[in-house]
Amino acid sequence: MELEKRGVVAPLVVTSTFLPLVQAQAKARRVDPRVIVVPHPIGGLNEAELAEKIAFAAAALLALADEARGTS
Amino acid sequence: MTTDWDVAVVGAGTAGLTAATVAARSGLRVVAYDRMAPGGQLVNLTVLHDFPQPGLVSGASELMAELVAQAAAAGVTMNFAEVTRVHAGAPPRLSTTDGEVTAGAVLVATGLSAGRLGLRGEEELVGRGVSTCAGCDGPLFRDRSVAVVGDDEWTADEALELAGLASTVTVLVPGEPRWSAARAERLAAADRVEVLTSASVVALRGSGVLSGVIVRTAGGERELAVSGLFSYVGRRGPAGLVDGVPADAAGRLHAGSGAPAAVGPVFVAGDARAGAEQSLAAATADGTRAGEAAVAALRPADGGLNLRIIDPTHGVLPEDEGAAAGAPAGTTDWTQVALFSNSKPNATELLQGMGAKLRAHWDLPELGFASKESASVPADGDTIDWLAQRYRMVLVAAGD
Amino acid sequence: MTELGVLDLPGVTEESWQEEAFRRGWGDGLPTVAPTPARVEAALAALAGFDLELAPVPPSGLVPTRESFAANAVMAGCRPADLPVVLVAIRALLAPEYNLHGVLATTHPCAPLVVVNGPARLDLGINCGANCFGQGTRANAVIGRAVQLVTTHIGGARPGSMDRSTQGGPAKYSFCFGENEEESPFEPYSVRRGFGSGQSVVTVAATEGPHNINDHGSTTGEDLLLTIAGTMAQPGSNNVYVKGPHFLVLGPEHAATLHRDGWTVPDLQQALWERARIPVEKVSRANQRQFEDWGVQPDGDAFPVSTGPEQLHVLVAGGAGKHSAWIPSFGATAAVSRPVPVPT
Repeated sequence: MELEKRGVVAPLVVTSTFLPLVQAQAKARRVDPRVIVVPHPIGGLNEAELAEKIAFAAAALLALADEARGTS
Repeated sequence: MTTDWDVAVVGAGTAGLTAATVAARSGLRVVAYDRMAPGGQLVNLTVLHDFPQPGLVSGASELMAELVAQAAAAGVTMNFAEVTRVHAGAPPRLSTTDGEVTAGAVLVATGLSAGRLGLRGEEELVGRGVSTCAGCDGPLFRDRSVAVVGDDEWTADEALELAGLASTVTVLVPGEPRWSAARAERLAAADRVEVLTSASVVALRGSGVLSGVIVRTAGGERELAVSGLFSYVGRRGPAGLVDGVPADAAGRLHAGSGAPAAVGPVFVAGDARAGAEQSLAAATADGTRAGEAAVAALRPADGGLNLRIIDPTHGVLPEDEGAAAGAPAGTTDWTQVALFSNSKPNATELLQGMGAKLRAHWDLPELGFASKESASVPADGDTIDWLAQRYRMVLVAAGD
Repeated sequence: MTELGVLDLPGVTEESWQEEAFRRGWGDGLPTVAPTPARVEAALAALAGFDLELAPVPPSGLVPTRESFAANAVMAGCRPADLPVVLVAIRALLAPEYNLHGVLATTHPCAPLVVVNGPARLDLGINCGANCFGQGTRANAVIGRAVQLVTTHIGGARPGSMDRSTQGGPAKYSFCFGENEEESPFEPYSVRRGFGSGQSVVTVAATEGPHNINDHGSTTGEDLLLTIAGTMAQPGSNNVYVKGPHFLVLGPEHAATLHRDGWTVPDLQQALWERARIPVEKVSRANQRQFEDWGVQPDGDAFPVSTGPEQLHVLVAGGAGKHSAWIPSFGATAAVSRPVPVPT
């Protein structure tokens, strides 16, 4: 969130479980972060499961990144 | 008596955060421990029924954000170490994964563990059909059949939540339901929900992923084809966490009748307390009571002369601060992209996987990389400076 | 529940307040006065009629409330009458050109220098004479300290976390003095800055503590300037490459000698701009390259200590004796002067 305040595009990768915490922090700091939500959990996954999460998250990232680049 | 903290709260769910806020607002130095994220059972829910009052519906994440923000504003320090043991004494001591700390009073508000049926193969199927969180995993079962096991308010809420996603929801109640009439009405009105009473799950089916459960009812055993099983029975309280405090059959701690004090200045609040009603309203009320009890316990016996002061650190955030994001920092351009890991397990792997796809997509030379020393400490200013100066975009692993 | 900004400290008494404050990480290491509502109200009474609106204090970005602002002044030991000067100093510190965020986050040892001109010095008993930079005068001690406590407590610039100073400096406890207008042969500094002669003015800048300039032997202004310029030509000060404002505080006796020999303030600024030069060979090759990277070139075969004569702020303060002082600065800051308003 600090990075976004400094003008860097900084998408936060959070799991569904952590999303509310990140939202609470953002609220306290009055920022509106770019967030990529990934289904919980991330820890303890095997390779195939991780690949699935990566594919899921990367799709969101590419859309977000293109949009950020396109608008600046 | 000098202690590391005035009050240490174990478990930052509804009861814990409420208690922590009450204590901190009284000027006490409060730490709230949670080995996961704050929020407790709220993490698992998206919509809350009959809260803040009967007939109303509110968002769980909003409530949780509110509880966390209130605690932070009151000055509660969050800590993500795991508390492994509470030693009663004067003062009480807490063993944590970050070492030992002392506190004038301890509030145990751990809630209950995830529900387990205790069946063969159950652990292997966790995350592969077996779940305890409709809010987290519900979307994975869109248009598929699921079963929910339990008999309380949380069970009913989770079933109602799943009813919006799954094709059918079968609620298996081990005996008779304990949920409120309002919940019963709502369940009856949901056409995708079927409630079976005196029903128990005796076996799980599926290799690799769950394909069904064997249900025993008065009419005998039969297989129910489901791809998701959400279990809210077999949830255990924190038995053994506190020296010398007895637990009930479900591992919930006995706090003594009427008062929440378990032993000395150690208090139990919320679902972790034997006899707790296990509803949001009860957890809030319990948390308030426990917080007030801790404040009272720390007041000196002479009637408690408090020194009232104006907080020299108090300030207010300006109304419209922070909207100014977006101006490029320095001279960076879009080829300068970095990954910033929080050092949690698999976080770096996830970021690298995502980064590789972006590299291919944007045809980038290579990506920068930084990581926090440890997931439990805030990012240090130098690293942030370095990233802000060198990169146009930084992908951050913030929470998992 | 208590109202926001008010704390009931359970079991704490006036006797145990100090320990409680230290335990909470409040203060500057010296004992503080408990900011009870009665004391804070009394302090605020001295600000009746003043505009108490303040800008956010970095790095926390929190805006002090009138009560929390006054609580810090109380903790520092201020009397109610000191509050207007503290308020104006804080407001000057929050001017963008002062660069408070940078000042607090830097590794440089800078402190918030507070200089007072005008009648407020006499009203409050601010020491402008003997030992004016040193201990022993309440007004100097508490005003400078209050300013520091506001940035520490409300801005959250606690040493070691958001205050990243490598070594810090004793001036960070408190650095406040008044100009010795009565013994100065020159116009008061504030008047030269464009304020009225009867007006009380507070000037702040982020500076080091004072560096002594001892010259007992010189009997002419010209000779004195050799010592002063030599003292200012320091290859290790931020003024070498960050430039920015710096202060020459002449002792009254040095000032009298310079004035007797016909030196005016603009003459002094010009002469010292030309003469306070650091020969390039006093700066290591590697450090010269570092300066170059930051866009700083020597002027011929020497580095000047600022960007021009106007960056040298000349004041007179102190008592009897042949000492003056040079106060180098953080560089990336400005000397910000604000009048102390007459309450309406």
